[in-house]
Amino acid sequence: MNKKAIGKGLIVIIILVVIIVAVLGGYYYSLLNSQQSQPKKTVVVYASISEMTSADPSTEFSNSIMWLAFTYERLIYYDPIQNKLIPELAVSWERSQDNLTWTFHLRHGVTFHDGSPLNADAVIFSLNRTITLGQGAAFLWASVKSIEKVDDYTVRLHLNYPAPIDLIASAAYASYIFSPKVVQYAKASNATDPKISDWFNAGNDAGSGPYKLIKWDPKNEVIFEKYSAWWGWNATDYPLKSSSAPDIFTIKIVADAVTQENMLLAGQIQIAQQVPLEDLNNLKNNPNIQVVTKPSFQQLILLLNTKKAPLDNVLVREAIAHAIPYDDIVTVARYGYARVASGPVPYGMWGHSDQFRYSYNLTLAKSLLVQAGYPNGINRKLLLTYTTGDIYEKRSAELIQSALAQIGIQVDVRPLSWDEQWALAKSGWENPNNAQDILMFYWWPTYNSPFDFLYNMFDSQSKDFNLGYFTNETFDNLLSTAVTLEGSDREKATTLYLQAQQIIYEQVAGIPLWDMTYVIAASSSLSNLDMAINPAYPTVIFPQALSLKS
Amino acid sequence: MPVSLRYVIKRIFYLFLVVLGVITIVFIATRIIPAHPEFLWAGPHATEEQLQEARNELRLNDPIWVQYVYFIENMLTFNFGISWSSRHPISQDILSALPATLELAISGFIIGILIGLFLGIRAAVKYGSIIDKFVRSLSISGSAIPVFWLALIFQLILAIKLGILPVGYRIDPNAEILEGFQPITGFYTIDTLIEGKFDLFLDVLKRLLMPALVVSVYPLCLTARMTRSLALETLQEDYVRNMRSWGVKDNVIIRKYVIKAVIPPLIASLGLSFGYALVGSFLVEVIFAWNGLGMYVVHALANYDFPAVIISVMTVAIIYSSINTVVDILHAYLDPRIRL
Repeated sequence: MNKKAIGKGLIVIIILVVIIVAVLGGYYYSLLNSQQSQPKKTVVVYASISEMTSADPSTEFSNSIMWLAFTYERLIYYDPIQNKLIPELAVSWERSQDNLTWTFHLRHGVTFHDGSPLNADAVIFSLNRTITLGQGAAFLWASVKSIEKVDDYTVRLHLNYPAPIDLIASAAYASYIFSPKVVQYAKASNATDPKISDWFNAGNDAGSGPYKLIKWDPKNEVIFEKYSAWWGWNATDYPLKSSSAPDIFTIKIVADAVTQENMLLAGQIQIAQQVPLEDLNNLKNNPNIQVVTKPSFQQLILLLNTKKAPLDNVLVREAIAHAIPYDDIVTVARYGYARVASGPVPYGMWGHSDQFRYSYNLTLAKSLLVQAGYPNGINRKLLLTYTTGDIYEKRSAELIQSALAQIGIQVDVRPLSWDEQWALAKSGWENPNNAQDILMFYWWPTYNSPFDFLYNMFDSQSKDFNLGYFTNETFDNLLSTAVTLEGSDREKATTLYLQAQQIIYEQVAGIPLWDMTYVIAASSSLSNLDMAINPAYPTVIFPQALSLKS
Repeated sequence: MPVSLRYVIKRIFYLFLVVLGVITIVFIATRIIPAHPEFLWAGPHATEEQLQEARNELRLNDPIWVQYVYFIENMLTFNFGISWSSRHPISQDILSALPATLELAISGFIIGILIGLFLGIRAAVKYGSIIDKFVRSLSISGSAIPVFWLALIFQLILAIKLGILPVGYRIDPNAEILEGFQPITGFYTIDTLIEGKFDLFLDVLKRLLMPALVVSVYPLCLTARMTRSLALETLQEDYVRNMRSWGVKDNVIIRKYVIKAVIPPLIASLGLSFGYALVGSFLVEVIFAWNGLGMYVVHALANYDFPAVIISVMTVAIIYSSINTVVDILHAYLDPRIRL
């Protein structure tokens, strides 16, 4: 009797012991196992904060750039730090005297992942599909009139008006070249048949890049395998590669920054896209972790509603510009991992100048308000909107709220979903009095030109993103002249862009706050990470450049 | 006497009522929030006509009660609709996410019940001792601690400081590529065994253990608290005192009388315990990068993907109230007083 009674309690203990033994046993078993099988494939796992989106290289204009950029290739690769264009699928290119014709000479011996060769037909097919579909960033190619095949390895683009085709061909979106055989694979009738899009989105790739897509589960993980026949592994004129690049590169969706940090510390992932900035000092002291920082082209900016009182008064806008503690915002909101902005063109981009910074000067700000006719401050609460869920925007907005209170301007800080923030802001073109007073958002470029920033946010024709409703004819004219010069006389274009920024600066159409510094935390077992990150291709880690230490 | 059919039908009727109530509340809540789903549906560069088309397609121009009638009609015909953000049929999304959540919740539930039962009885037998004090403070503090915080602490200790358990994911990130693993049922503990991949099974078990322990905390505390007080009650009965004075050993008393008295009321609380486990797994899924229903709902909410939110909530409501219905019927079977 007695023994049986003990048995009851024992069952529970036995179950627990079995679980613990199984776990520990499994742990040692796997340790043993990993030591035995030596020639295992090398793997690097990169944790992404956001899910992947679509997989169509023609139309994708969102997160999937994170892998499109190395599964597919462009004609040209752009290194913005050195402001250098590096030949990728095109070995050389030239433009005509009138800047209306661009000729690209293609690389020989390049194969797509399906084995078919890269040639003029493939380039024409890809660009035409992207342009005809007209989705995503296809607008970049708006200047193209026709594309001509000169011979099997030469392609000529004819333009309606001069445009910087070299910069567009190296853009992070809408610039990818793929195998024309997708028509057969997708059993489609022509290049723009939606069946091709479905074929891509089912997890197929048709690129020529150093890695090929082997698993597509966009909400959880996307896996890539080294493409051993990639031309670049042996090319001497192409710097972006490493002899010990990983065999497998995996992008894992880990939506929480703290979890990313913990997984990195536990060795589950090798690269974390986002860890809490406040933990970076600890991570830097950890010998197993490296922290890589790089300037980015992502800028946080305030657009001021120039069509609604009191911000329709330039003196009030100027007062606000001088009442914001820029350095404090960078310190508090980004723990110093940003640079106080100077003009809407970010640091590192051509056309940037350090001349456009506003001083933080409360006395000046107050006297400007007096001049504007508001000696006792503004008698109405101004509405500032920002995108919900972004902690850096939140912190910046709150600091601005308390800073402006000091000069007698009360601000209602309201987080909205981007859809909503955008809808409210766009309605301001019809009725500026119903829209927000101040809009806070990020801008980063679709292609690497000051035009992308200045046109989208400040040109009177740009109804989608000019959300301060700024209209200035001189400014618009400067831009339209500058953009046609980009392809031919970049120096002149730069001068014009600086003049245009001077107008924004004097008119205070927008108040640039900071240019983000990207921070990537990674395992020390990786080297070359610095080369694998490029601000022109935001969020991308180019795995072919990574080196794995044994 | 068996449980009457009338009682069972009544319980199932209540189940429907509860599910209907839940989806109605969620439906109204999602329609009251000022949101513009047409922007999501039509894409980032949509024209005004495309937006208008999207509004018509999503019936956003109809009054809310018309939308509700359509919605209920769709539910009754098992047409669960398409996710606004992923564009997949929602039923498909949920079926692929559900096994992960159930595997986690069931493991946490079982661990919690077993340990809770054990601790509760120990505490009752050693009433007033250090064990009892420990169990009492554990069951109170345990249910007061938020699980998402606990999850981080577990990660910090077990994975980072001690390095004995992996963090995140249900299976080795590259198992599929390097070892050829393919999910079959979606329950990875079962799938790895079916495929005979024992080392992957151990990997899955290791990855499951930490989140399951975190999830087990609520059911554990509830079970421990209930078991302790029920057992104490029984131990203070006159007949138990008499047996003790006659020299019957404690272990015999526990096995023959205490456990018997504790089990039926405990079964009644199983539904609640499982509910806790389910909620717990929802809250920790994001922290463990566990691709279950909780993660799905978080993404859906962040994207204002309301159909996905409503159907997910409905799924959980159905699971939770079905379990409660079964438990109630079971309880009625065990305890005739309930049937009245």
